[in-house]
Amino acid sequence: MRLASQLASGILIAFVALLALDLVVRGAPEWSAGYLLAPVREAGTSGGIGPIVFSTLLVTFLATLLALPFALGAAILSNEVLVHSPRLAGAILRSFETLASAPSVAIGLVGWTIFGRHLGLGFSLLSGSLTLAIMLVPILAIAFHAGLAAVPRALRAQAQALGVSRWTTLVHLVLPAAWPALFAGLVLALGRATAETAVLMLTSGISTRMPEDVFDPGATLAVHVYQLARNVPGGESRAYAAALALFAINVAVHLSLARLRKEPA
Amino acid sequence: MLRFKKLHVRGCGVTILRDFDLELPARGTAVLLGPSGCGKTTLMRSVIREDEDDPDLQVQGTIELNGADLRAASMSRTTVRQKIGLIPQRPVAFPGTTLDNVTFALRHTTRLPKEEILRRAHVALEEVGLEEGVWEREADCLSGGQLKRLAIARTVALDPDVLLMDEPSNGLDPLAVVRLERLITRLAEHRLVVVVTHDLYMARRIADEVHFLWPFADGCRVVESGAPERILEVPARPETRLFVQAAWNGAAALYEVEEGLEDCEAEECMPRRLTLLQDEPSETP
Repeated sequence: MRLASQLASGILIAFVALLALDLVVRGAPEWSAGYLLAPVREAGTSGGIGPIVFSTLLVTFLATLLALPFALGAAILSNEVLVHSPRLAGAILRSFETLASAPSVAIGLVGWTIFGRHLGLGFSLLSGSLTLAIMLVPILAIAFHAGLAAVPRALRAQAQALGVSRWTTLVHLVLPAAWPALFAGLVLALGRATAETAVLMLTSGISTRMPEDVFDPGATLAVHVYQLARNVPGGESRAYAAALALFAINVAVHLSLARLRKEPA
Repeated sequence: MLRFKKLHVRGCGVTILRDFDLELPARGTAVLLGPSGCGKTTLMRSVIREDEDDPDLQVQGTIELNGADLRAASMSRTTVRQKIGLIPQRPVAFPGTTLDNVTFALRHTTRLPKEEILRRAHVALEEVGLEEGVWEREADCLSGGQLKRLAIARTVALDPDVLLMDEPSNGLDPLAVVRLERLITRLAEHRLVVVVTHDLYMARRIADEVHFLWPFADGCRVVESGAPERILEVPARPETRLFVQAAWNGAAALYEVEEGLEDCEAEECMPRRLTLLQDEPSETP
C-alpha cells in the first residue's frame, strides 16, 4: 500500500516536472527582457504579454472576489443552517455538483447571452469576470462544504453548550478550524480561473490591447495561448512562452498563498 | 436546587424519559447511575435546552433551578447555559491555546473587561489544576486528562450554579481519575455537581447522593435514591441490585441476582433481564 502510494506520488511529480521542463525548453527561448510587461505586437508573434498578464490577473481577482461570498454563503447554508434539513442541503449540494460538471463552453454561452448581450456589457473584462464567477461558485462551494463538514460537530455543540451563539461559533471556531480546507478550495478555484479558456473567449474577448477599465475587452493568458497555437501562423513557440508565463504565475500565486495557510484569519 | 417535574423526553422517535421526577440539592455531588441508553445523557442535554438545536429531541415538562423555570421563554438559552455547565464525555479542544479555550465563552457571552476575563480564566485554570506551563500551549496538544480538565475550566470560568458531567472518568488512567475526583469534590463545595458514571468505585468515593435510573418499557425513571453506601451496598430494588452486583462481581453475578428480579413486575423487568442474560456465554452456569 505504502509502495503504491509512493509510486503514484512519484509518477505525479515526474509528470509535473516533465510538463514544466517541456514549457521551459520550448518557451523560455522566446522570453526577452521585459517580456512579462511589454505590449503585444503583431498578434503576439513579437513583443511581450504585459496586457495579457494584466487582464488575467484582473479577471481572476474579480471573478474570485465575486464568487467567494456566494460560495461561502452556500457552504454555510448547506452545512450549518440546514443541518437539520439534510434533504434540502443535499439538493443544494447536488445542484452545485451539476453546475460544476457543466461544460465551460455552455457556461460561456449563457454568460455571453446574459452579461454580454442582455446587460450590454459586450466583450469585456467585467462580462468575463461575472461569467467566470458563475463557474467558480460551485467549485468553491463544494470545496468549502467539504471543509466545513470535516470540522467535528462536537466542536459546535461544546461551544454552544457554553452559551456561545451559533454565529459566533461559526466565525470564531468553525471557520478557523476549516481554514486549511477552505484555502485548498481557493487555490483549486484560482487554478481553474487562470487556466479557463472557453468561458473567457466568449465573454472577455481576444483583444491583446491594454484594457483601460473593466468594460474593455481583454484576452487572458489561456485565451492568448490558444489563439497563438491555433489561429496565428508560426505562433506555436510564442504560445509555449505564454504558457510558461501562465504556469509561472500559477506557481507564484500558489506559493504566496501558501504562506497564508498557517496563519488563519 | 435542581428539580425535574413530570419530564417527558423523546429522542429519534422513542420515548426516553417518561414522568421523570427528581430533586437535587443546591450543593454537593449527585451521581446518576443506570444502564446505558436509559437517558442519563439525554437528561443532561435537556437541562441546557439542547432540544432547541436538535429537532430529534423533544422535551416536555418542567426543569427548575432554585425555583426558576429553565425552560421558560423569558429565560434565554445563553442564561441557562451560563447557569448550568455541561462537561461532555469526550471534550474537544477549540482552536488556539489553553488560555484561549478558557476565555472563549467569557469573551463572547459577557461584557466583562479583558483584565477580568483573564483573571477569571486564570482562577479557573488553577482551580482545575492545569499548571501555568500549559496555558500558552495549543489546546489540541493536551493529554486526555488535561483536556478533561480544560473542558471543566472552560465551564467553571463562567461560574455556573450547576455542573453536569457526563462520564468524566471515561478513558482516564487511575491517577487521573483520582485527581478528577478531588477536583469534583472541591467544585461541589460551592455548587451542585451532577455526575453520570458507570464507575461505581468513583461513585462511592465522590457521591453525596446516588440516583438509580432504569429503562422501563415506556421510558426511563428513577427507581431508587439515597446515600451511596446504601444504594451501592444494600440496594432495595432488584434492578439496582442487578446493576451493582454486576459491577462489583462481574458477569457471573447476573445469575446470582436473577432471583431478585422476581420481585420486579414481569413486564417491566423481563425484557431487560433477557437482554442482559443473552449477552452472556451460554456455558456459564
